[in-house]
Amino acid sequence: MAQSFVRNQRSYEITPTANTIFPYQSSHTQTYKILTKTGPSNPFASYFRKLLTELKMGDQIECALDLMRRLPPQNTEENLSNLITLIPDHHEDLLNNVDQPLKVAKCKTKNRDYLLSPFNRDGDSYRSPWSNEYDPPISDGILPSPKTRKLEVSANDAFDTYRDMYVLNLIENQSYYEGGISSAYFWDESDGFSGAVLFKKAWDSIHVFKANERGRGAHYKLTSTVMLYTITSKPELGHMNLSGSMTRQFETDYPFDEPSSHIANIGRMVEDIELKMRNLLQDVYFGKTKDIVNDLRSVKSLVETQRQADIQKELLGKLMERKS
Amino acid sequence: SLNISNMDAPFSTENKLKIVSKFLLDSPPGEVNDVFNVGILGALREYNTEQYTTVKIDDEEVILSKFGQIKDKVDSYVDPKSRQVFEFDHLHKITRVIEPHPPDETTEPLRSAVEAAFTDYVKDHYPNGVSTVYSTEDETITIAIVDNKYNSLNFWNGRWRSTWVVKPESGELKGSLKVNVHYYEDGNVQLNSNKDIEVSTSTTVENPSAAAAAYVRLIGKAENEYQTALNESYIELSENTFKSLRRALPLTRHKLDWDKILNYKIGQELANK
Repeated sequence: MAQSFVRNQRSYEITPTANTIFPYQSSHTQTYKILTKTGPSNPFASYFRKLLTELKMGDQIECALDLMRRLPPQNTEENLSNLITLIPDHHEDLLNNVDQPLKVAKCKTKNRDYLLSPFNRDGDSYRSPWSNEYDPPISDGILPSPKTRKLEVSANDAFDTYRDMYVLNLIENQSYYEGGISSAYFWDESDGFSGAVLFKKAWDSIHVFKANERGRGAHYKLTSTVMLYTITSKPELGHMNLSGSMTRQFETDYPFDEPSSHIANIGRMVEDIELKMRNLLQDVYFGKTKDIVNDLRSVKSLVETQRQADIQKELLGKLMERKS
Repeated sequence: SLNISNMDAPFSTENKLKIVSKFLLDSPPGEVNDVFNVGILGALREYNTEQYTTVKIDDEEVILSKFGQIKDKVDSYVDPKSRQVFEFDHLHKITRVIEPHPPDETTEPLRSAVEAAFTDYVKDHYPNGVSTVYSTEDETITIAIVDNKYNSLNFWNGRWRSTWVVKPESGELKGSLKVNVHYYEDGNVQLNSNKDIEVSTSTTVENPSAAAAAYVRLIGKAENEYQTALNESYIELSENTFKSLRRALPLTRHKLDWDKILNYKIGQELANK
């Protein structure tokens, strides 16, 4: 089984094209269009626009995405909105490539929750993975082929079970939302198919994959992102905001005998990477950033700590002398 | 304000972008709109002053802050320690001492006592810390502290800023603590944390050294309490985030049997028919 770690793959190379107008859903009850926000006469905007328009198109997107990676993730919505105002020609690329917290909607037909993403969006509408219908309804919305839709149905069921096995429903009879939500959206490609598997639980996960059938096996590329936003306010603490996202990529080959094998293969990849991401979240969010804080300032007296270290060193030196 | 298009030829597009990028990349960024207010120079100046960027004057590190900024001469700053006014070119990062700055005779005894006391305090609690103590309006004393840690190779950096305004007559101390950490290897994770504090002392200013020592005690205690609360929150957050998961592995202790999962729903459907 060949495996390789793919760095720097652009996740937007494996997202579907979408129609021209795009919405941004700020809550699952409202929709508003970012493009209707006219750019303010903000010197920042005009300065940056001038800079950006002088760059080649590919560089503009790189620059914008790089910016998004450095600006406070707590302000993703606002930053994204501002960037789109600056380079409106690239709004599709920006929307498709900037990970935003996952929002929930209810499928009225099947009375189940599903997640909103660029992958089930067409214009202003979102497709429910349960009913395969767009809300609000549109006449010519993008749909997966029947073959791919069958896989998609199977995937949604499988990942629903996966979610159930991993996420505890703390109280019986809680709604699905409390125990997390999963949604899978597939689309056709010329040489296979691609899809996105999304989870909303303690954190949000977005797994985007591309599957290429090659003879008796299939080649899979996976780009996974986890997003976690926390805000804590307490009198002794003040205001603490620890938020952001992390991305990993993975590529491998698996054998497959029938279409449903894809679900098992993708399921295994997602499960593996989710476990890795869970550890990464722990290590980075609650480990590394905390360590950095304590590198910046020491509660203990540094003079005292140094003094004790010097005494120890001296004692050790004397001990060594005695021995020899 | 400086119009970028009027700048000299050396500033090609790539350089302009480098400046802007460096601006963004060098340190944990703040609010984009607030910072980029009046073109790039204005932005840099505002950023440096807000973020307590330090410069070297006579071999000592000095903080750039609004407390030292000269009114109507925004690129000129006071260094109370060396008693000089210096100019800082934010674009080229060059300092130039302009003239001496005679201290205020009434406030200087207390200010210099506080400066000495806090130099020791910062050495004792901030591995790479810098402090600057100012005589500010209405006979207050303002203490600015900053500590930075940069590790671009490993894609992270952090900054701690403390600002304490002391009212010597009333013994009131008002503090504002800000901690920012940025981790950006294959991701973008940021800690943005702040706390406003009010404490007071009954120590009078007759003896400047005694007053300064009292301030150090109070501020040290308040900052320690804050750092402890931050560390405790980290532990709580970690526990809360993962508590809704059954465990790292599902109950069966093995990874899932995906072939079984695939058949599960189909089996259910058949049973329901």
